[in-house]
Amino acid sequence: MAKETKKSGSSGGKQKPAVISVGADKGGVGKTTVARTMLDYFAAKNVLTRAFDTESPRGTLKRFHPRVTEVVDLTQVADQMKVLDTLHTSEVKVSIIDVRAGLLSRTLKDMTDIGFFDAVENREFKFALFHVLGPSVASLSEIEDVMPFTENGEYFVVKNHINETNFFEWDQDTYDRYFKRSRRATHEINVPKLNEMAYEQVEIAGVPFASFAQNKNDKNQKGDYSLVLRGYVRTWEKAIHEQLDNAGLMEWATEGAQAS
Amino acid sequence: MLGKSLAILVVSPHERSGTTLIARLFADFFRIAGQAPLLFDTDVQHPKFSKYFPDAQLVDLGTTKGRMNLFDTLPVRTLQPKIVDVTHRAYSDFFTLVRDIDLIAEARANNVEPVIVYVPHYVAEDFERGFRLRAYFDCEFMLAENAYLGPAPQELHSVNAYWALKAHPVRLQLPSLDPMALSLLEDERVSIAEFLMTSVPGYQPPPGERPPLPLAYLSFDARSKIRNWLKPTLREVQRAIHLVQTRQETPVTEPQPF
Repeated sequence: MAKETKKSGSSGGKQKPAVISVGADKGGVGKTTVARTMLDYFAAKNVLTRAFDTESPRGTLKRFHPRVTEVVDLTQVADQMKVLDTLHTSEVKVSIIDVRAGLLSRTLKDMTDIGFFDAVENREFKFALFHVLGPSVASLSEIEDVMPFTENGEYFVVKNHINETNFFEWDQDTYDRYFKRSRRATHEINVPKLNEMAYEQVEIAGVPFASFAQNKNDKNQKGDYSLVLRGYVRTWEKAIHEQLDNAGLMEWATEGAQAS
Repeated sequence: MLGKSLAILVVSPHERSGTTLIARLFADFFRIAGQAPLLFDTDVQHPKFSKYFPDAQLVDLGTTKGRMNLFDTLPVRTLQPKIVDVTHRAYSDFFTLVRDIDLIAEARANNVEPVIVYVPHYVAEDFERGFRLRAYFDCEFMLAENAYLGPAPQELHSVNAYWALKAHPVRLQLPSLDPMALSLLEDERVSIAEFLMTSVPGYQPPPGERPPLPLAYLSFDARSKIRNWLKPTLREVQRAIHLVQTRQETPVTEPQPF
């Protein structure tokens, strides 16, 4: 797999491989959008990143980040090997897995079966789950299902404001209760709503959000995108990246890189 | 290759500040000098600027399409200047968008220099806002003082931002005009450029043509008052524009004998 970003000091050496799963059991909550912003985030920080798109065979993530993304079917042993057996050998230490809608719980169980979480417990790998929630109460019950898998990792709850709905009609007490059951810290990322026209134009352009904001087309040449729409995308992504910074994602993912 | 051009943004946080009149003066100054500025009116609720200039584009900054119409055009490299009359209702949203899309950098990359023409009322808050605006946006800034808004009260003299803006090198001073003459000038049928050309004593319309409407109903006294206000005002506009053009090494607009 080719690399999207410049080589930096963040690869090799004592840096432990980091696996970031982006998923939800509910469809249409914007998982791939979140994965795309994270690829842009690491690219902006010059951290080599690879991505696995489990939306086999279609691969929405691959459409936007073709150079770093591979489409895999995580229910297949061969593809599980492709992702997990290469964690130690790959010079790219950050792997993002965009988990197909509805398969999050199952994927986490499969990863348990193959001993991935034991390896996380033994500090061979680092693991973070970006759990993307939709604006419905149903999303709350997912938290209880998936949180145990992150006991030795990091858990990010992502509220994606994909439309104008009042995000959580949820009862805040109920929401808080889910997290109080776990004594560990949980990061919360709020993805603001992106202007529809801007989102649509990025879809049509088929380029990463960052490229669109920089007015670059899929051949990395100067694009012809609207300044206004580029501004919306830039501001929107900046707001997300600031939250990722505040949550310490960069430090977590590249921990140990300085020592190498 | 096209030289640098100006994108003039006339703004005030308040209504009745004279932004439309100032935008008109800029537009007519360039027209009298033989240029064809691109004009934008942002007040869709009560459009005024576009009533004076039928070729001005009325843009609704409340919609993405309207924002694209304006902000995607402003940084386009052109020979002609661009003038925007920013309604006070859109003031905050306008600058939020200018910041978020980084209009200044985009315009500069295309050889377009934005000029913020800021019209404050004589209150501390307006001068502080203008001070912040000038500090934040790294582009040409012009303080426009409209005598119509009255003199600065004594309490303003203790406000640092007031003195900071008063010391700004690029300023435009609009002299006062008596209310009756001003209301005549605000008539949507009155074109400043046409008025200047046709209101000179002894002017006769070309054979077979009737005199333009404004002259048909304006008294000699009113014409005289408006002319006596317009000429120094346009000289002031010319001075301020030439100062900006010199600072920015922009091609200088042909001086006019106002």
